Amino acid sequence: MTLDRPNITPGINRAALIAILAYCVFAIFMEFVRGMQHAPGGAPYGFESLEERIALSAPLGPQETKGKILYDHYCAVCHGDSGQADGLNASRLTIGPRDFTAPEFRARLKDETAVVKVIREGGLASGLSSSMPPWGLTLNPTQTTELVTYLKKLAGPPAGAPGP
Amino acid sequence: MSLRALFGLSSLLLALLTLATFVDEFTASWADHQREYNTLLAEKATDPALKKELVSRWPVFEQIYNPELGVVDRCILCHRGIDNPDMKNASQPHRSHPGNLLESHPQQKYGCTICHQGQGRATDKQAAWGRVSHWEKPLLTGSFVQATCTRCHVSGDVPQAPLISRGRKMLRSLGCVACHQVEGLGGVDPRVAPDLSGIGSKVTRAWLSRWLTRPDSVLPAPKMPDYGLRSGEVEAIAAYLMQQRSPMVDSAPAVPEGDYDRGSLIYKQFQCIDCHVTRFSRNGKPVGGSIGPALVHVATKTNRKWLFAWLRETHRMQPRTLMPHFKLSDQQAADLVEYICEEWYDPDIEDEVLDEPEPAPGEQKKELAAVGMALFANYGCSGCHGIDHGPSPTRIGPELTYIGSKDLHRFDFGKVDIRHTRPDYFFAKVKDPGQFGKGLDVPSHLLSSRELLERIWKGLTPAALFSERTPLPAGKEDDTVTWILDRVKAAGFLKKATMPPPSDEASRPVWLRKTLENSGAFSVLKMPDFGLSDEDSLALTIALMSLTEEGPPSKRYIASPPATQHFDPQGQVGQLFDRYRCLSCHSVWDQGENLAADLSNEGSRVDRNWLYEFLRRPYSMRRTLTIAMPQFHLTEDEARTLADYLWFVTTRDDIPGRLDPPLTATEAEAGKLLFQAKGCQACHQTSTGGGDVGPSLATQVPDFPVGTWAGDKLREGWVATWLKNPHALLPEAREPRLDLTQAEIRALTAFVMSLRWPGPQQKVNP
Repeated sequence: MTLDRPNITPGINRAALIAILAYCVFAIFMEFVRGMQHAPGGAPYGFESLEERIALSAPLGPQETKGKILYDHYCAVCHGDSGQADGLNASRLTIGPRDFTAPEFRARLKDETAVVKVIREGGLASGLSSSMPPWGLTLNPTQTTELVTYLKKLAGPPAGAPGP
Repeated sequence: MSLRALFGLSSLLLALLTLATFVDEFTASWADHQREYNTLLAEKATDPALKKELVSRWPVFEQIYNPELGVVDRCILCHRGIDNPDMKNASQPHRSHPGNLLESHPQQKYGCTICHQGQGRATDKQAAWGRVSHWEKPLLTGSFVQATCTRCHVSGDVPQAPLISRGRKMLRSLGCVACHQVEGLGGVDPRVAPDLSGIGSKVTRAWLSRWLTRPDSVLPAPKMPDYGLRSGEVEAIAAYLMQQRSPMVDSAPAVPEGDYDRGSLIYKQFQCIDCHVTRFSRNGKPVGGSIGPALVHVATKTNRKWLFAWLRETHRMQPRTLMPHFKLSDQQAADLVEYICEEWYDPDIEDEVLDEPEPAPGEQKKELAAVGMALFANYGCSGCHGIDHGPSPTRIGPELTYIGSKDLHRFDFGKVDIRHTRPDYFFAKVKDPGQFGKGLDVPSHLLSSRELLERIWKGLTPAALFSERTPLPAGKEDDTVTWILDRVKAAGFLKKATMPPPSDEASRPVWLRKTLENSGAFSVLKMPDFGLSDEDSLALTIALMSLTEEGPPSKRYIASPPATQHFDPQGQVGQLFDRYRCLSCHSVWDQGENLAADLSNEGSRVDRNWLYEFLRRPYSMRRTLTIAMPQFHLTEDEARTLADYLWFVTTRDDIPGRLDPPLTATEAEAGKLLFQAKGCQACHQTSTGGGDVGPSLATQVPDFPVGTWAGDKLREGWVATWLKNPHALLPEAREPRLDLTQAEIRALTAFVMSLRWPGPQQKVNP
């Protein structure tokens, strides 16, 4: 018994070949089109630009804004609206609150973890006044970070740094 | 070329292309990012074997698949470190997700595109961010992500998403929904605007004109937006509103003579300042509450007769008002009116009232009022302000239910120079609607002079004032220009001195068009300017973006706000709550406002006897507070009914009245030391002094029949529960939660409860 060669007519052969070639050309063409679409400066979607514009016009960054809300709610009553230890309740404390605009606080801010510790564990745990309560169970770590960011803003740039 | 050669060539090409596919996949940017990420991990790894494994690890193809949400997200191909806290400060795409949102919305369950949108199936940056042609939902970043929260958080505030919560509230509180239907948001907040039936008996014409022209020139931060009305429109609307008379006020007898000093005392007892701005501080800031309208110039706005009627019949005149109905005799009301008229008037407007021109003769006035009524409906005033027998409230603006899904090409950006995206459009529109005003949309040279004049006449706004009333008279072109000009001037769009150019008569219609366009006379925009800040505009933009056709992805995912009991007192108590409008300031469960203390747990918090006495003789809770509950002069019966009801209904089962075992004197001694050690005295006063942040624990209010110290007023179980976690009882409490043991809590409670007024024998009410 002999094996029959498949009987393919030259016409079908040619059609199949053309199909393959057409596919190849199409694939290369599509790749080219895709490359065109991704060219830089493609479709204009302006979400960031709008947000950036608003952010630019706001005096505080997003972190600082969140920090300020926390500060105004929990801290300002003793430490004062602008951090100058002149809050409504400041005069009633035996040991006055920290002045965040004083140079020594700016120096303390270099060691951020120490400041965070005072906020989270209270004054007594760091050898300071017990009038500063611990906020560790009230504020979560993210909120503490936001608060410290705002404290930095209140403290102003460190001494010797170039002004704005 | 032989068939064989062609076959060979095409086979080679196919093989090359197939190879290219593989090469493409292995050099894909996501694979590169994964290698970078593995290197980052390797740098942090301490185990050398792991280090080695990480460096040689092959990129893997992964996706998040949740058919219920329709999520197929391949974002994690590049954002490998999304849930790795070590990657907090890494560069993108390796950085971890900011905040703690993934704890409540794990990305393995929700995917990314459900919140961020973009094209989840894509595997390269531009396509995945959806910033390609024909992808309608590009990636949302920053605060814009909040726009998708509402798909699941269908009502109420969204935790951790302040802007969408605020924006959604603003849609109701600004009155947007009065003109624009938004399904699911309900109608306009009834507090937005007063009912204007009888307004003509209430306000002076001069005040009304000034208010309609520029609300912010009358009151600081007025709730009514600026409609940019022209003087003619103001005159017409004022004429219409002044016709709305209140027979009750008009037919009332003259107000009896009042006494200023007695009135001043009543003013203080009623604590008007809790709800109304009554003066400006030295640096120009308004002093007083914002629940009611500012009273700084109220005597200029209204008259004695109306004030008298209002104070006597508050709820009959405005059934929906938030103001309590105070108990006042005729004489007391007259005293208070005397005080108000002496104290709060605006000398500027007083002069205007004197200079007010003679009102127009009867017939003309009637016609003007008819125009005013049409304008009132045309500007949508009736959406917020009801008037008996006035125009029915219709929504004059387009529906906004699905505005966030509206095709971009269907937005009319006009000549406004902004990027063509939905958020840019929303922002520009709410921040400064005026810039979207239009001129005539036909070039002048395409029309004959007569046609142009017709167009001008028809295009003028408001339609009611001009085109509908008279057709343009036939006549010489020149006369017609003057005719139109006269009417426009009369309506206040142009200065009286405006005259057409003398020469070159052919161009006069064109000149007229240009002049009117510059004066804004063609503006068809009815949307007023709310004077929103950037942040408010952003909140509103996000709220509008959230109004899409896409409902909740699946019913199971709908986040419902925590269930609260419904507060709806009936019978006598219900009447008392209504008469004194307790819920205008206090909240109980799901009802009320947060100006004053939340009363949801009041029964568990305070002593019943103290509550009764407090309702009879309210006092300011803190030395530093200027506001206090008004003196309502409740009868004994009323006070007892309210106290008993509150005490029983708002007592919580899970907060015991007394602690078990009973507190001892030894514990109180220990508590006293603890009170100092924990720094409690920094905020609370005791008999040995202390701060002013929290309420004083040892102050006796003068002339109060029972003790007002902490031990007299509070209940043991509540103090202990509060100390355990103040924020569980009152989320916005300023008191920090301290790390206290059960014994410490008991000791502190014992100390606080031992603070009792050592005064005379206490009166006990049955």
